[in-house]
Amino acid sequence: MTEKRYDRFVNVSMVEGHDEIKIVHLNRPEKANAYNEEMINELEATLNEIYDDDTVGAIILTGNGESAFCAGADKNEFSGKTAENGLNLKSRMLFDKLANASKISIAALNGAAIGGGLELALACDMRVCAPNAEFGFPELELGLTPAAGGMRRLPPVIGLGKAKEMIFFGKKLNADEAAQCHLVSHVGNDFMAVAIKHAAHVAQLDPLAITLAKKVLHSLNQQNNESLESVVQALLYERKFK
Amino acid sequence: MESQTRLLGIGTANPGKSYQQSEIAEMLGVMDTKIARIFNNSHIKTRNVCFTDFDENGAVKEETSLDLWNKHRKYAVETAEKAIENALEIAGLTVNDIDYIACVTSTGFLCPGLSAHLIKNMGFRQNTQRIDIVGMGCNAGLNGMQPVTNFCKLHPEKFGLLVCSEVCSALYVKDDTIGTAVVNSLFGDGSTAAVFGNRSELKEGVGAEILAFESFIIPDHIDAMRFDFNGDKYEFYLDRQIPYVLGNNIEKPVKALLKKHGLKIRDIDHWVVHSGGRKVIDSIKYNLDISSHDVRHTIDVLREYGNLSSGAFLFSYKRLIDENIAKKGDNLFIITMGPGTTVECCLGKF
Repeated sequence: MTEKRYDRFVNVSMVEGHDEIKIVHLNRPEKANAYNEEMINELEATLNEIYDDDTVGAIILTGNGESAFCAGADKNEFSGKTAENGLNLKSRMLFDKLANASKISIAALNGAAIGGGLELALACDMRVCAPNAEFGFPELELGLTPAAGGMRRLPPVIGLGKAKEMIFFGKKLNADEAAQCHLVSHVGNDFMAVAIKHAAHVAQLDPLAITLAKKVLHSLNQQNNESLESVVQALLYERKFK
Repeated sequence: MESQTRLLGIGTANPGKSYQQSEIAEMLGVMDTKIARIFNNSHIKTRNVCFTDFDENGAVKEETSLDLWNKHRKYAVETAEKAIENALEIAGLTVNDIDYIACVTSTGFLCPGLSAHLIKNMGFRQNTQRIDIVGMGCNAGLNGMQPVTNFCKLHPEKFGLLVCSEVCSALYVKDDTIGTAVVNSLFGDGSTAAVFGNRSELKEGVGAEILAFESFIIPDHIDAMRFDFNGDKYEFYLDRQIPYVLGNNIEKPVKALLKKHGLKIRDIDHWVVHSGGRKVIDSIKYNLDISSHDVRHTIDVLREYGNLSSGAFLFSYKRLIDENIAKKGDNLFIITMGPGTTVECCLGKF
């Protein structure tokens, strides 16, 4: 049955006194903000608008509801996926664009970031979280891999060993553990205020200097290229869902 | 079939010349990088403004208050005449058919009012009823639409005309303050005319039946948008909190009007929102949770003309009509915002 829904899957809010910040909210709290195709399309359109807005210097991503930032891809949409879907994974392209955008992004994690939700958080330049947040990559248990940048972006942040713990052995991190291995920069109920403080700081920096700095920092992580990631997912989709 | 008061035609016209936003900054002698950024980040590409006197370097000369008053009188009347001709032609009517005129302007004070000048110049009937709405700002187009449509409802065989004529460049002052830069970077000149009358059926080019209006004022923010008299000229002031004031309040009148008609935001098929500025549009869009597509005409009008004050929403409405996508039964919602701080709403049905 098609989900009957009238609210948009992605909302935006502004921060009083900080015109230069936009907060993007994932809005599907009844499904732990899991993203379906429609939400991904809305997120893409919303982010593209913000990228084009020269008055915006920083983006904060968060989830609506108290329990989850984002539970990743909606499992109900997996059936019928083909190798081509795996090669052209929309979430991968969207998250890569966010990671490479000239604007700084901060994930303000109101709750769990699982699978694709963690990949979205990893595409951001900084992560702060609520004390109830948790983190995990359950993809291998489903016969898949984190294919939207998770395998490329997790090891440089927390180290290869810890990344393998999470990806191969299903190790979930709670908020404090995530802070200890630098997956998040701050844990607390004030996570949104902290995100706004950091966003306000970077938003007043020279945009060109930020763009160039991001390019240099991202160039340090080019050995795990995205085409390998996409071929892996294509292969698994072809085997599993066709 | 019961006849319904509908929009029968919108005419628009812009005085002066269409300039690139960067040209205007240059002509106003903007040197300060902060002020230049305000001009560049306005999301406005072009604007029509009436600059008439330049120095040898091509910069706009300082205008006296008398120059500005004359500028308003000349262009508010001339441009309104063009818009009216355009609107009457679309509606298939002549000046003789018009029984009621409401004229809206906030960019200059005329006595006798704009309506009297238009009647004299264009040959409207001497018994044309009229009202001039002066100084109510950007929201005033809907304040003017109320008496026109009320008149038409009361007299189903008669026709009413709404005219919004704003020469915002007659309010420009030249100084190096951020406040002045915000005003000078935002407002453009333009006039609109809208003919209303009773038609039983929706036809191509005809607008929605006007169902109801809803007014809302936020007195705590009476100073957020205002004229300050500096002893010589009026300077327009815009508070930087305006997007948030509007965003925090916009749901109240919108939902109140919808509730009276058993509707929800999701039931609205077409939105016409005043092109107040990018942040204001964003704030309304986010707080009503409507899409950029819903406010596409509002954004396009801002990009091409800047904030045209009271008549801006009719520029957007005209684009919606010209798109020819509205179907019978579609709901229309119009929002204008301005000093007070004020939100005016109108509900219509195609």
